[in-house]
Amino acid sequence: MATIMRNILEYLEKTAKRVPDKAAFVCGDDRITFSELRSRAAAYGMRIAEMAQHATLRPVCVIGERNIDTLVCMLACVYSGNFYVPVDPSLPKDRIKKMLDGVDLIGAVCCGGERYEDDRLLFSDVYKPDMCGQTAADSCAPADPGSFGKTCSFDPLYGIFTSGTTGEPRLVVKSHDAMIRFIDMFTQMFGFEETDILGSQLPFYFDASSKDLFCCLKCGLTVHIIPAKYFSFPQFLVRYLISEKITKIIWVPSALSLVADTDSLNVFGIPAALKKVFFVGEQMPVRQLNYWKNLMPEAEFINIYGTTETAGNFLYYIYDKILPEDRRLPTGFPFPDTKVFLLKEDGSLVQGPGEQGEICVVSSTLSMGYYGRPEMTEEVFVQNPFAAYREIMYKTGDIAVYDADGNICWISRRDFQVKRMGYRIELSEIETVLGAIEGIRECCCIYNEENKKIVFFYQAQKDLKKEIGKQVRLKLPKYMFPSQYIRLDVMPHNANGKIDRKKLYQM
Amino acid sequence: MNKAGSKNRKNKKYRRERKDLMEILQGTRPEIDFETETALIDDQLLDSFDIISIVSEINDIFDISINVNDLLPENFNSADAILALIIRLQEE
Repeated sequence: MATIMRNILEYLEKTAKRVPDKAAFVCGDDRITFSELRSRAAAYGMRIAEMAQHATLRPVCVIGERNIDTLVCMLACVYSGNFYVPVDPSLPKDRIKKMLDGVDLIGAVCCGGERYEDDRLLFSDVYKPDMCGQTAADSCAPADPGSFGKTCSFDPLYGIFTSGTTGEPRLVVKSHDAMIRFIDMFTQMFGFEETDILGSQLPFYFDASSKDLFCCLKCGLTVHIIPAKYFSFPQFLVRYLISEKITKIIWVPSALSLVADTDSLNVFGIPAALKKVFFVGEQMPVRQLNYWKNLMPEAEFINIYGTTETAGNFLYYIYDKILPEDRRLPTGFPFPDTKVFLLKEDGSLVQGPGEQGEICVVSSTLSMGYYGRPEMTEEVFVQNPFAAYREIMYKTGDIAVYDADGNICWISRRDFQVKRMGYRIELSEIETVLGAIEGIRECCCIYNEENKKIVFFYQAQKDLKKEIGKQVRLKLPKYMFPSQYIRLDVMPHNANGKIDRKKLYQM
Repeated sequence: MNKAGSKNRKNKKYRRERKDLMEILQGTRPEIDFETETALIDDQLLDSFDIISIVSEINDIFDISINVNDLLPENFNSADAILALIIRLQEE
């Protein structure tokens, strides 16, 4: 009987049978085979199920560094019949608490480090690898069919926090089905195979990292979790790509630019095994892309675009002809089995080049919206106005145009939201946190697109640099830290009485 | 006595460089105390984005070129280490 796939763990179950002793993940000196990954995740999943008193379909937050233990914990949540929410362990405790307001987490798992204390939780555990049987011997033991076996394709697989317009983080929830469909499409489109070796850059609380994880589980390929430090020091990075014979990478553009700007491929050598380079999260500059393409003409360079609100990406652009440096890289064409259109403000569709519109997407890979926030979900997940039947469309908030070849080309965010190092940042969120400091009359954040720096302007009678620095460290994630604090005697205002951002940009 | 005198002169000589460097560092990450931190990289206080931005500003301000071979964690763990790198490149 043909089996109906309901649950993404079935990938792992099958792969662990097919290639039990192959390395699934490598992280420094640590490595884990598929059978170990399966048995540890299933065993710890049973423990989570017990701690959760066999509740299912509830969010469990996983606080851990970029390592194998954290991956085991994430999958263990799924084995328990619940879904995981990865959280950056370097975030201030205050912010984690605030993020979790309104998300009725059932429990938290820390991978190493301190226990996360929060009396709203039913359980809080610290995972250690020796907690569960982990030898190849019990790899054939059936996983508890009572929990994960009941999970349906339309149930949530994981949740991920994203910055919201009101300055409150929102939890986007994604189903098994959306992820299965996305991964099937993605691996087929770009030929991911068991022989591939992936070099992973992204932290797990960064949504695009789910591609590394699920491509691995599906295809049985090996993923190297490259140490974060290497991305500051290109010689480590290039040497790692060469020595580990990495074949595919999915990185943010700034990591690729670092290698290009330091001419590291010429200095440290060409990673000859590298066949496909994906960039995601922000606009890839053409000059640095040309550096890679010229030195590695055989490799394929692919721009992929998506949002946290979809299970993966839905636009792609294969960089096959060299563009002049002053051109903006097109975002690309829709993935198969996906409809993407540009919606003008008057509600009509952009028909051809020249006109701007908001990127809207209809796809079986759409997420399930924001956890516990139906009104926010309904604002952006709307009925497709061009369909006479029920069809949900997601409005991304990104503005784009078509080029002469029909590619969609991203221009900007519709609101004040900016992207920095692939992170979505709401400037108003920084203003909310820092504006609360005693002595600040008014404040405003601007983002300098050129040097990618956030500048915080504040009106106050005396210099508050020390206090601002303290609050920044206490309340904000690192990627939101302003690079400059500028005190003003008077904040400039425009005719409508709003803070004059244009004037601030000129300062 | 002599030794101390020479050290003072050296400190004086690099006081300007140190001040410029501190300005660059504070201008990138105002919340970090660069006077006391000695594990900027090892404790992950500076990320790749900071390093790129600091290196490009140092190259501009000091009119040197930090070679990719000098991009090593030990050269960036403290303000003193960065200063030593700058001085070495200036003297080369």
